[in-house]
Amino acid sequence: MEKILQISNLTKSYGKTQAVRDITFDVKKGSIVGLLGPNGSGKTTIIKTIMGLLSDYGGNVSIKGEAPGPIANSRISYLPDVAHIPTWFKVSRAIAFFADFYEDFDAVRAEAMLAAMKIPLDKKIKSLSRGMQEKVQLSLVMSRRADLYVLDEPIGAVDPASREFIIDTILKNFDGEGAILLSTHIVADIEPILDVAIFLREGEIILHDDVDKIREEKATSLDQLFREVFKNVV
Amino acid sequence: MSNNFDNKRPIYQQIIDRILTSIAKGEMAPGEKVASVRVMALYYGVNPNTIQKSLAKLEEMGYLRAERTSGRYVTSDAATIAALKTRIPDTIIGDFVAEMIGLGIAKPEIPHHVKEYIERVDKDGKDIAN
Amino acid sequence: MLFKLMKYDFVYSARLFFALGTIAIALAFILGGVDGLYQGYRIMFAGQEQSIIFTPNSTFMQMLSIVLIPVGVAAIIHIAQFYHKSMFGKAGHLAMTMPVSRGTVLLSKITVSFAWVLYVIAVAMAMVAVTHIISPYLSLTLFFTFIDIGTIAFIVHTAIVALAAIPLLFFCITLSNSVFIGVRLNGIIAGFIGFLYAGIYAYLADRLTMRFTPAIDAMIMNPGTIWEQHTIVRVPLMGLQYGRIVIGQRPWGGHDVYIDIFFIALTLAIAAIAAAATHSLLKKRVSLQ
Repeated sequence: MEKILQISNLTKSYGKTQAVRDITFDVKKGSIVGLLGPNGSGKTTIIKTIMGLLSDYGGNVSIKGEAPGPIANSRISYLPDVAHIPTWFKVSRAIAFFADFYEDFDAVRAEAMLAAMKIPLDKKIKSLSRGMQEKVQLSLVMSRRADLYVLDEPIGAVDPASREFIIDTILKNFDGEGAILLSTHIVADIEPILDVAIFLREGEIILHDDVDKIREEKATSLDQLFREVFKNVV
Repeated sequence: MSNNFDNKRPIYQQIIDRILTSIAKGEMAPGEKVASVRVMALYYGVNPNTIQKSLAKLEEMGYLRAERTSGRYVTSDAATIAALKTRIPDTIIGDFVAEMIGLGIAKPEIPHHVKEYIERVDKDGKDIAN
Repeated sequence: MLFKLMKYDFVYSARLFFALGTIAIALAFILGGVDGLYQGYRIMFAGQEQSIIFTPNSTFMQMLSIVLIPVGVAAIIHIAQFYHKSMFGKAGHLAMTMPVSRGTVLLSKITVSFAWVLYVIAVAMAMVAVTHIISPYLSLTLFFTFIDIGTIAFIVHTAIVALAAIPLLFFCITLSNSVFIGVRLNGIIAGFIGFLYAGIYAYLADRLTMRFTPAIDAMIMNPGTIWEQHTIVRVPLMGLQYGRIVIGQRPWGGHDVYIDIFFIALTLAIAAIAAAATHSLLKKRVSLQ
């Protein structure tokens, strides 16, 4: 299977503190990979490096052969863990923005998703509830036909009902042509859709395996294993 | 949709079990076309690759048949399906027996408990077929 | 791509600047009213006939200066805010991950900021016009003098200085969000760089004003006419000096047009260097938290 993302020996420090150390993993086309770890374990650092938001790192990061930058970014659909679309935008303007800059954006699909959520297009994003805002962001991101979707804590900040909806949305828009890399510290909800799990502790990979294989070999759920491994940290 | 899988066991295996149960119950008819990987992934709330694994295994086991261009179909082979109807009760009974033993009931006692239960329920007029 | 970026940058920053413009014009109305009342008092009770023209130490000019300065400072702050928020705030996760080169993004922001400078100049001029109209004791002919000579110099001068000041400002902001040898610059470093910026800018503004205005005069009219003795408004916009109106002989005597060109070229060079430096930082040293 073609490798969409390849990371080898990635190391990034902030001054004396080392955020991540010797990170190596691939994301293959058609797979959903979970970067799992408690807050501060380095998930966002890895993601920001992939997106070109952090320069000055050691090791190699390549997205279909491109280093992080504008060309790579045209193939990646990114959902950061902050509200990156100005909240005073109307929903319609946000859609227009994506359509303007991303060739692979499917505005019709985005509008359909928002209509299904009963979100009127002429509302300002900030007038929506927090959970709704997350859903709007996610809808826009998943309406792109990108090679790689990078989702940083897509379910972190929302209520359990919204979580289910978000996971459902991710699955609905995943067509196996691209790949998904997502990070979270809430494992139970997300484990059914993961192909590969990567456990991250204090900047290092401590586990990297196929999820069903873990279940077979260890007779445990991913969530249980996660809690066990991180019981001193979480 | 929340899936109610046991996350401790490989999910692809559980999906295989569910599909086999569907076939045994006749919910999926012999020769019927199986839904696409995507549709099933959404229905079960799992990764499409997991569904793919399950269907491939089922094909291997002979319960599903793949047509190159049009997708997958339930086998039309009556013998295979008949064998399934024996195999599944075996699994259910196996789980049940294990549970009873776990409660401390001796193996010879088990049929007695089953018989007594069915008689009791019949007398109360409750419908146990559901 | 660039035009699309600029469209969104305009939309993003428009709210700040329209608010600024509205408040500024409102202040001008108030200023005109106050001045009119004050002059009325002077003429009626203090027996002064003379109308309040552009005399060097007139209360009016002082008051106008006081109001124009905040407008200029507010403009700088708005521009700085716009750049910082859109590049290094939450929206930075969008701006820096777009499929557009960082250079194009930077160019868009510089261009849009420059357009806003022109807007603020227009606002400043509107403020002067409004006060003139409101305060009934100012002669209209001298207002046209202001338009003919000082205004053109004012606009061109401010625009050129802004052209250098904007990239400088962006450089300082970008520097304070950069990482060197793993260390993130901020706080004190940014403050220091800020002073450096202010110093460079102040120097440019002062030098250009001294040198540039005569060049405009020379371009527009012949030496020796009566205009020579009239108002030359030097009102560098972005914060440091305001309205010094000179009537009479220019104290610096004759001028050399080549020196003026030199300072213009110097300003543009500073602009280009600052922009290039900022671009380089954006590409290699950025660290978005």
